[in-house]
Amino acid sequence: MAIVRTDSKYYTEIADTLREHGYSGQTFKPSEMATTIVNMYNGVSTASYENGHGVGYDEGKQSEYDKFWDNFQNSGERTRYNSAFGGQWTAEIWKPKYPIRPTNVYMMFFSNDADRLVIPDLVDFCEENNIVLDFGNAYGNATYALAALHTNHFGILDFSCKDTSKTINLTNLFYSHNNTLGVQCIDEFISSERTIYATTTFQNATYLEQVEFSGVIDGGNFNVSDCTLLTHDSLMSIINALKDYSGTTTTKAATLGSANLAKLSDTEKAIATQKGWSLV
Amino acid sequence: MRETVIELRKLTADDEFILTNGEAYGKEVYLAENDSVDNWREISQAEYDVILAEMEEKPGGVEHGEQAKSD
Repeated sequence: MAIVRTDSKYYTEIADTLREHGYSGQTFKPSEMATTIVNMYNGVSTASYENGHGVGYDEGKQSEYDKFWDNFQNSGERTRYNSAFGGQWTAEIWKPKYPIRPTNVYMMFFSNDADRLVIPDLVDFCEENNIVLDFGNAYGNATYALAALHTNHFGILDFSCKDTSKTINLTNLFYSHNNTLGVQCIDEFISSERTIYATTTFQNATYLEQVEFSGVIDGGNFNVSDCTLLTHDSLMSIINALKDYSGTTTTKAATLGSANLAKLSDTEKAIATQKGWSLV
Repeated sequence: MRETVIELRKLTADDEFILTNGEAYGKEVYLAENDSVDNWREISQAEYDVILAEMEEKPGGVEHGEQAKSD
């Protein structure tokens, strides 16, 4: 080790500064100063804790987080999430403390301005942050429910409306998703006879490539003609989910659009037509 | 070996016309087995454009006073 000469006033200045920042009344050897500075920075020293610095910060932050979400989510009891996450939400602050199992989702994620909650992969994000987002209990008007939640990857979207006495109306579900931040993949879209589709349900989901439908597609006006990138498997999951009206006089129509119809063979189209569905 | 005949009935709209049954709209329709040609008719592109405009829901309309039923 090289021995160098230095002015002791520099050590005095460092020690004075440490005493002003949580180490009041303490003395330091030059050999302890570096460690003390690091400890002060990390907030782990007894002295800084006693003086309200460092260690208390994380506890305070957690306390504020708990206070906010306990109120916002009614300590986990909240079910009405109409317009709950309108604007100004970001991935840094959207960290719900309690599982979200909403009954009311009208405009749940919607903003009239340019604000969007952008989360590239919602599945990964929810896993990393222990977030549960389950729409299975939702009913009624679900217009714009996911409009401003921009993610390429949704996990399970359960819009089957578990309450058998109700229905759910899916209008403009993916409004403003017609850009590269919008939906590209839905692991599973759960549907039922109580799921009422509109022409606009998948309107603007123009980057949607993969979706696996389960349950039954039946109500309303099913239309994925805007989703021209849909894979063959995705289209077959739609064909297979169409409710079977064979042997009845009921006829239905599902609009896939010319681009998607061209991906299906006549045999595959016939699966739908034999179930009483005209394909448009 | 088994031979299966797949029968599809396809309607194709004339140029500048759209097929509709009153709910669905498109240039071509593969008819359901129990569907009838009589349930479908042609409308002009201009008529279709008007219908499209009516179907478009504007979010601003909801915010600025239209009563939106939330459940």
